[in-house]
Amino acid sequence: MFKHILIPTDGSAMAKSMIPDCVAFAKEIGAEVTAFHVMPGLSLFAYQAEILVDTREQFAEECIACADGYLSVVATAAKDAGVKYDTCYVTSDYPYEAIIQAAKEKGCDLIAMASHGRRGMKGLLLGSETQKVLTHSLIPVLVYR
Amino acid sequence: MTQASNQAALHDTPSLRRTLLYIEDNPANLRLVEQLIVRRQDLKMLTAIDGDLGILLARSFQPAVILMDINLPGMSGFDALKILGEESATAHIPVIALSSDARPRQIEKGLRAGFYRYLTKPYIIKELMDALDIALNREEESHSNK
Repeated sequence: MFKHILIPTDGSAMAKSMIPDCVAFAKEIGAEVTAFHVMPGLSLFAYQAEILVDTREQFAEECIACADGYLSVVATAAKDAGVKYDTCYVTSDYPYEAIIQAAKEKGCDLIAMASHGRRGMKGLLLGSETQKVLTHSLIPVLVYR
Repeated sequence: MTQASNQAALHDTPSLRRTLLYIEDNPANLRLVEQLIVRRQDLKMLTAIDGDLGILLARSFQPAVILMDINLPGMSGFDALKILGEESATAHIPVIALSSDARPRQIEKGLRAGFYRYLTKPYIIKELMDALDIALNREEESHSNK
């Protein structure tokens, strides 16, 4: 029934660990996958305007290099498994909104995410993007541990 | 691939065999159960926000256990349980009810309707984990007996 799975990744060990399982699942059910990464927007105060310009460009370059690295993990796994895939990244300060928006725009019918693993007070205060996607998405979410 | 053979293939997807299907529209409960899943190495969680979608996912993916809110938008948890119980593809799946209605009569009604366990707020984590363990063990035994 699922035809297109969105796999958001933040490059963390947790997110990486679910990729093989997720790609295997896509293969089993004949679905395609879209790997997705949300880059943070630049947010800082600068001493001088020139520094900010340099920093902004450098920041963007580094973010894209990171995104390419994270997304290539999914792309390689999908390619090796013979699963149709696509990769995509955006810049947003609200990853969960970007993830839900991307799922809608790409026509995905499932979002597969890793559970964050934060515990105790930190988990209570910060929550996680997975939790935010879970509580805002109308599309089914598959949460991997 | 025909629709029937497609369904048959979906019924036995190994990577989803140990899946908890959680049918819930309440954000606070979704957050809580996601926290519990963090403790379970062996379990994935698939979510559905209403009964219709939940039934569709249960048919297709044969989760090991279903956790279901009673007070769902549209179709109630009782109605969804009835449909799941009437279909051979889903009748064997244990369904644990989550409800804020803790009146003894309501709990009795839930168990009589066929819920495997009927848990009420405030949810006791150990109670929920134990119920999941028992339901998962039952599923594993029935799977190995096939």
